[in-house]
Amino acid sequence: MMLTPAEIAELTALMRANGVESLDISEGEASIRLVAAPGVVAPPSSFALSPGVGHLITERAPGEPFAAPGAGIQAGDILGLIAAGLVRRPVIAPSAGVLGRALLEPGALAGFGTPLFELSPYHNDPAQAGPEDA
Amino acid sequence: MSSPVVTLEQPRVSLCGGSALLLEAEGPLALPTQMGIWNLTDEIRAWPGVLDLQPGMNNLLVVLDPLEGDAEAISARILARWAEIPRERALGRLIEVGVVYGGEGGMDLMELCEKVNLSPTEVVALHSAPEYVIFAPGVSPGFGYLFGLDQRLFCPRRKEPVLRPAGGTVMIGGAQCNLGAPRRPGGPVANPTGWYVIGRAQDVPVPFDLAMDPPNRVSLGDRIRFRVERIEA
Amino acid sequence: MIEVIESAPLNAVQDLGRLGFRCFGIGRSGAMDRLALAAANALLGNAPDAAGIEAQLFPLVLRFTTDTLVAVTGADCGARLDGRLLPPFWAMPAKAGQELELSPPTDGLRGYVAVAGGIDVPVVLGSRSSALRDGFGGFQGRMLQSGDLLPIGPAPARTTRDAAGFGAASPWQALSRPACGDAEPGDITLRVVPAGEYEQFDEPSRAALWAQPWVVTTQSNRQGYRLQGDHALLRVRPLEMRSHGIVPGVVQVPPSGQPIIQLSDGNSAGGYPKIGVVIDADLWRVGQAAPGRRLRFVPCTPALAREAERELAGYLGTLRRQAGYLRRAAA
Repeated sequence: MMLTPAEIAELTALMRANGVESLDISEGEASIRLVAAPGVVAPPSSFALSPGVGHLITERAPGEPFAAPGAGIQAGDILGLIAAGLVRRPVIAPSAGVLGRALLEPGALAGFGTPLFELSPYHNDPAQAGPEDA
Repeated sequence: MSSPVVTLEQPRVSLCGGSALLLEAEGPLALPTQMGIWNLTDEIRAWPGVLDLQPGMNNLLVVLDPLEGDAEAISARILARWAEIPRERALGRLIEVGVVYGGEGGMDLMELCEKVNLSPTEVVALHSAPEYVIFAPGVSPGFGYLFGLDQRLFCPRRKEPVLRPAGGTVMIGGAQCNLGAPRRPGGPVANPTGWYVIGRAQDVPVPFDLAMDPPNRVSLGDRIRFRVERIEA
Repeated sequence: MIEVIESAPLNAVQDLGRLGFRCFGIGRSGAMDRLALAAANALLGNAPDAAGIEAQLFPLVLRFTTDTLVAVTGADCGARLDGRLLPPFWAMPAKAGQELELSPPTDGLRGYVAVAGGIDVPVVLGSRSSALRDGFGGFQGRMLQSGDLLPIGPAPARTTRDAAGFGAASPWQALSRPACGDAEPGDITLRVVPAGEYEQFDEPSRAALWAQPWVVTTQSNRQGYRLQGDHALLRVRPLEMRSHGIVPGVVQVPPSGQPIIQLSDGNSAGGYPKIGVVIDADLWRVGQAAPGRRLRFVPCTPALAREAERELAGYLGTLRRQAGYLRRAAA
């Protein structure tokens, strides 16, 4: 059984997103165990996942991103779109937080559930407070 | 000095984009030719691929389905039918309207007089003499384009359209003249036009009423006579 | 119902236009960007001839009095549903009481709002389009104003798979741009079939029609666009034309030599010589060309025009099918 680096990255991101510490995958004789490095697992972070298979769009118009890294995000905000054929589905922020980097290049192909954006919770530090804390 | 009017020796069909055709009849503007246009209009309405039809002055616009209409094939069919279509038909009723020529309502009378080198009295006499026939629909529901204008009154349209008050306008443009419908309550007070407004009709019947079925109160082939109420300076 | 909270002038109910009444002198009317309205109806699963709202001056603020599905297409008017910004070419559920606001677009000119079931104004002479000059069709034959209550037609109760809705590739993204050798990226290229009087123009004018950019002037509206080019279009020997029917897209040349494209609310008849006609399949591009935009004309034939029409039909058909997967029955 072969996993591509991209698949491993996707699986580890899913593990982080769901707080999974280890994952055993087997197929016939072959098996593989993925173990998350200490401290990486579990909240603080959450992830916005791809709603389906398609290509990532990060801008609502040329030069106008849906949300820029570092921006304060509300739960339900549209962070990007997944384009398949002529239709586009929204990539939704599952919770409020500060938007991290996009985990996929604009235009790259995402699968169902692929983590696309990382969200960090707001800190209590007033300087970094999000709208909900303010 | 008026420009010569296009007169074709042979009928032709030209393209109006990818999905409309214009049949232009041979010869000068004439009642039998126009009756042929009306008859052809009635016939083509049933052809597949045809969405709409509009008789013009000596011509007929045929609007095709942009996906299904085969412009080349339908062109040939139109020309073939035009050669055979009967050029006779009964005329309709007579409508008489009183007109105040010149003055505020006919603001372009003097300008037209200069262009055609006639006095206001002469222009009005020539304009009010004939019995005009509604030849073709105009730019909105109304009395359409009238046939019968004396050629001494032919005057090229303006280089650029100007705004003229709406309602009962009596106008000349090129080799044609027309009568404006009464101003509709809430409707535009002025319309852009390249024609010359030589007078205003006082009591114009409503030519189009959506409360009626069919909504048109006048038809192609109806006749109009202009009665001179007076000439204003 | 949809309540009009605020509307700048000139916004009105439109569908794809009125056909079959040219014998009364009644032209097409209908949306200036018919493709955008058709795309909105495809996203919602509406009949292709369902009516929507054409917004060409802003703001336009609407409130929904019932739960419905709404689609906003055409120029990106930064539509906000209860303050939340929608992506362009977007469809989503709207709840009773929610407000939709459209603002002036930075690119393009006209936005379209459609709802599941369509705007259910009466059909007048075969269409729900507003014939504003003649005062019939649309909503009471006039443009929208605050306080108007627009009825919504019957539609199955539906929502979207994603609560935030779904969108579409715009025609600018999905359709091929008509090729024009030296057009600049911002130029709008339009396919034009030479018309009856093309040969009457002198050779330099015919060359200039295709070779030079035509700037959309501020004297441009739903009736027609007046264009401005360096080289005026002149005829060898001016001849008076007899009045004839005019379709949207006709490029008339008044004696000034600066052309006018007749559009949705254009005169249904006229007599200025016509040098060409923009094909139906490209009129939506004209509808989004703001004053100052440069247009380029590319020669076309009826066969190529039908091909372009098929490309449009293909876009709408695919959109309709794929959008069907992203809607579902409301719980």
